[in-house]
Amino acid sequence: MGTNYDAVAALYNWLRTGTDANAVAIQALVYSGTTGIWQQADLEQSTFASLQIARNVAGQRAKVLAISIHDLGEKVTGSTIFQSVGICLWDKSNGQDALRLVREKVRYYIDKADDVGFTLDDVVTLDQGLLHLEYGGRTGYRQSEHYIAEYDLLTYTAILVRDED
Amino acid sequence: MATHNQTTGIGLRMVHIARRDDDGAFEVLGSPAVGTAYAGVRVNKARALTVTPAEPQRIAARGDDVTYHTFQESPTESPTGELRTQQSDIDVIELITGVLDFGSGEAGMVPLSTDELGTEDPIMIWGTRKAVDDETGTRAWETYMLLNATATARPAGFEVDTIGEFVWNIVCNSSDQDHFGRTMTALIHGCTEAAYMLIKTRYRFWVDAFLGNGIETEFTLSKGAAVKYNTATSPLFYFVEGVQVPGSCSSSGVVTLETPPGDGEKFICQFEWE
Repeated sequence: MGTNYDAVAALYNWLRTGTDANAVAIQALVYSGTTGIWQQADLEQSTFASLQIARNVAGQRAKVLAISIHDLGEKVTGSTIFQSVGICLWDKSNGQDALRLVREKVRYYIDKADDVGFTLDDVVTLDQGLLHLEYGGRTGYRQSEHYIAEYDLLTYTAILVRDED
Repeated sequence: MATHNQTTGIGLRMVHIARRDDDGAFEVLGSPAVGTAYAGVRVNKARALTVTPAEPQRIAARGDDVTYHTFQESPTESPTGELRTQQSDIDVIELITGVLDFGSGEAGMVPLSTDELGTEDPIMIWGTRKAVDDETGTRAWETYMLLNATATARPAGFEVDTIGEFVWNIVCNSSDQDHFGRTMTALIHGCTEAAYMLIKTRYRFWVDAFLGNGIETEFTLSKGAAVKYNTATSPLFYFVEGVQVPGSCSSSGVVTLETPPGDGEKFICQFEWE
């Protein structure tokens, strides 16, 4: 398990290595399981292509090819830190149904997991915690401009509590 | 000292109401079988549970030029509050106002703004929200327990483009018992009366009530295997008729009391679940 520096890292680590029922349920929605959980920097066109072939041969078209977790920045209002987290669902030449199904399930399991709570690591003694992860919308079905793949980007707002005094 | 003393909370997740019994705990309605839990009525789609404490009286003693002392005395009013929901629920209306559903089959009908306004039975209201422990960063939960409230209905208006909110105006009277039905004392509570409680837990808060028959010692909690039964930071509280009693809970959420509650006696169990 990597270090949970912030909400993005906590969500990525939880999806990539988590063993609780909610994490496992999301991992099962991705064709290659935990290896299909990526950070933004992991995105590669060749991987999309090989995953698509393998997924189709395996007849698992209800699963998406990958889920990537994106850091969309932070805003501060008063003493509260709001971090935007992107959860991008990737598929390729497979229609929209797999993305729709996985989208709904991802939202459901993340809501349940947020009730249990994501714990952040206190790397610089900030007494920090992730109070709430709130769904904030999605882009809708899109064709990527950078990769030959389709995606739907779900955005979440993480409310961080830090004791910096 | 409790583990979760310092928390920051957000939103509102779950509200329950129940009719308050004379003993200070909530009444078990509907005559459930012995050993079967009653947990009040869930208020679905709750959007807000607010309490506004009454302002203390401030009486200034005037000197020749300036106030030289201000006395702060107990308030002359009770705390008030609001429970707002996006759903109109006939079960909730019946429980709070005492009116009866005189509909039939799938048709429900209840009177509103009745001549019984002001004669409602007292109720208990508890609402939970999630929080984060400010020291450890772990999930925690906060609960307000209104011990002796009355509520009057302000049903939602019907407006274009508006869901509308059903608003319950609440008065929070003082209770001299806590939610277990135990008399409050200076030794245990630091006071002898209170209008509401703040409860902080590691996992979600829940209260079940049961009626005893003098024989049964096993009581199945309504959250079953989801009960946190063996966590040191999540104790279970067992009270029979306002007296704390020894007991134990299994992994399937079955509580076993050492002594069976007497016939018609009330057993209250507070626990946490996930």
